[in-house]
Amino acid sequence: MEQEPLQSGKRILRDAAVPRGGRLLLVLLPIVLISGIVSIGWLLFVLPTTSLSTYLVPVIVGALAVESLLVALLVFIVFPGYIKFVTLASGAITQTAGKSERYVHALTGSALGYWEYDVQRGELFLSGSMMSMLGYPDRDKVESIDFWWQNTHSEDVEGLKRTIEYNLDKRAEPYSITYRMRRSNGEYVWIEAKGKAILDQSGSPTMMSGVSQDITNVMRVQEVLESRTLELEEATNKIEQEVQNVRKFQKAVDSSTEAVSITTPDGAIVYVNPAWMTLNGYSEAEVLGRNHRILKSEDTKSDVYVALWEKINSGYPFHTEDIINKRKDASIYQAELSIAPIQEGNQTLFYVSLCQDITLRKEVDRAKTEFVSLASHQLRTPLSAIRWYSEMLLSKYVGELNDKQRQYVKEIYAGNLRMVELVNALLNVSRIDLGTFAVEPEPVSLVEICESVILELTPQIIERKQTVEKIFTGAPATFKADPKLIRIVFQNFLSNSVKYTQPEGHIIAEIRTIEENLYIRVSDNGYGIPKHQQPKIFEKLFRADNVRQKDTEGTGLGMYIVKAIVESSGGKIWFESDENKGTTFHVTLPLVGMSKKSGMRGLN
Amino acid sequence: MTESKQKKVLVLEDERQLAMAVRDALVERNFQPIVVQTITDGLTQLESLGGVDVIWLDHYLLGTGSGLDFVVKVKNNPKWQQIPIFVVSNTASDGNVRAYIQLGVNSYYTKADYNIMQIIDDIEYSLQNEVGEIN
Repeated sequence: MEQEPLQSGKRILRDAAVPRGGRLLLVLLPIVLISGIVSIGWLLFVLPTTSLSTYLVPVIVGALAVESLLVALLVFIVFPGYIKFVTLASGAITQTAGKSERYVHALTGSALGYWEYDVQRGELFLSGSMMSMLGYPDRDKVESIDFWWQNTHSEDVEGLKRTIEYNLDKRAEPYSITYRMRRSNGEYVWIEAKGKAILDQSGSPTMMSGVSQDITNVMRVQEVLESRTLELEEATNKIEQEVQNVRKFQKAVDSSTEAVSITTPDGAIVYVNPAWMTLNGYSEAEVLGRNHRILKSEDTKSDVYVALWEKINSGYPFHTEDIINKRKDASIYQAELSIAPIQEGNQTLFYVSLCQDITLRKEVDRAKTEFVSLASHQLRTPLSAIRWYSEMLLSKYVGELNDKQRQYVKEIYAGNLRMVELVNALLNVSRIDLGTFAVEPEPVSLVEICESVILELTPQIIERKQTVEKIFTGAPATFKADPKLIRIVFQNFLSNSVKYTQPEGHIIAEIRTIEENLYIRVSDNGYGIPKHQQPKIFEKLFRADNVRQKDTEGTGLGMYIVKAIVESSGGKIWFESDENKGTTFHVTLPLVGMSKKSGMRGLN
Repeated sequence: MTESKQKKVLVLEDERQLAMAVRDALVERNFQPIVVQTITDGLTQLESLGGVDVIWLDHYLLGTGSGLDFVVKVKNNPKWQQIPIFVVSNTASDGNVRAYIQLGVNSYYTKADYNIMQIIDDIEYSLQNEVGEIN
């Protein structure tokens, strides 16, 4: 097909053979005509002057006859052949040109550039469209092959040379290659070139020709597509990873021994794990879409639910051990429940709750606490004996002790007092933990209680040369409180301040009302509580490192008891402390005072 | 000071160690202690002695009944109801302590929290006031 215009032109010319003898006649015709004219001149002007003038007429007639014959031959035999040949040649040329034009149109229409590489001369023919592709004027041009190498992108030039060499060596044909060429403005254009070597009759390559196409846009689209594909792959991988994670979490949650459930913000259950179903006796189908109220029992105190909703509505997680849940079979269990609202921005997406049956644990806890309580009670009898006998030994009724004996008995007596204090504290803690401590409120003077505690501590305060500042001007005359409990609060704050403040330190005790609250503050400029230990200050048996070294006698139970007293009275307790700068404890209690609470025992 | 002027203290305490300490301390402070371990013995002693000056009472005692039962009996007896009673116990619950106070005992002490002499001081003080009132 590519050869079509050439082949058809050649065929036409072959069919229209040049007329025979035509060339000879064409050469002879001017010679004959010129020699005829010269002969006629000679006959007319020279012959009459010669002796042959008598043959003038016959000679002229003869010459004219010969001329006429030659002209006739030319006109009637040679010219028609040539006219026919010319007509056919013209047709062939028109046809060839027409077909070539189609290819030119096709090339330009398809934005293809045509090129030819003369291998032997090292010359490169570049079509106008090829030049235009490279940003040069749209005209055919002949360049050195070096022009091409110089403008090929440095990363592509080696590959291009290699491909052409392969093609010329007939190892690959035809070839097709994509590479980058520098345009006249310095930018690079992506080119897709196709070509093949043209061989001579001996099979050696003489030329190479082909077409090139600007595929920059295609490459750009391809690049964009590749990057999109990459992004898609990454996204797919991420999704796959997320799916794996979700599966992992799903499996973890499914196999968790804690009962896990997920609810929508309006309370509809959307997920329960197998442990949840085992714990509560419901199947998944029975609970999906339903509310957690199905577990609600009459035994849970209503204030637990109030606190629960208050917390989670404010976006905070809630934790309690005071929920009594009811199973499907109506049996109940004590639950440890944690609910966390899962939020996106300000919107709650769902609530995740973890629940555990702690009935047994609570029973064990209770048994342990009861044991501590009982053991502490039992300890009191021998402690009383030690106290009384050592007291009597010290009291000279049974005779004088020598100094060393006296000192030792004093140590026994002091050690015993410490033990009594510890046992009392343990009993208080067990009463708090069992919820059996009683609150017996009556109108009391907080100032008097505080003053009496300070009076008790006066020997130590004097010994340590400390000063106590009392700010009681805003204190209420009376406050409804259990005097024993409020005394424990002051006793712990103030004795801690005295113990844990250096000699000549300063202690402040303040009582006043702030709005609807009673406010108590005990402040000192003492040793302070190390920052990292501050979160543990209200835990049972906690003692800060820095004071444990200075005073070995504390029980570590005082602040736990104080917190329980304050919070059971609807109050709040908090503190600020800096090591070696001091500590300030704050307490607020509702001005209405403490509420009565019946129990086995008050706190000592 | 003669034997007859010594105040009689009926001590109801079932712990041997503590009972001995109380007895010795009371003797040291010139009291005449009579120590028993059960309510029954306590009541018997009250009957046989024709009353005492003071009663030192523990809550949990050997045998049946607690210190509360003993107080009820003493307070219901017109001969004995004026005898001052000092409850000295380690184990009474708040409810029991309230019951003791309501029944009209003079004071309640947790043994481990008080020196024995503090309690005897209070007993003496109470007896002196009583004497003062009589006078």
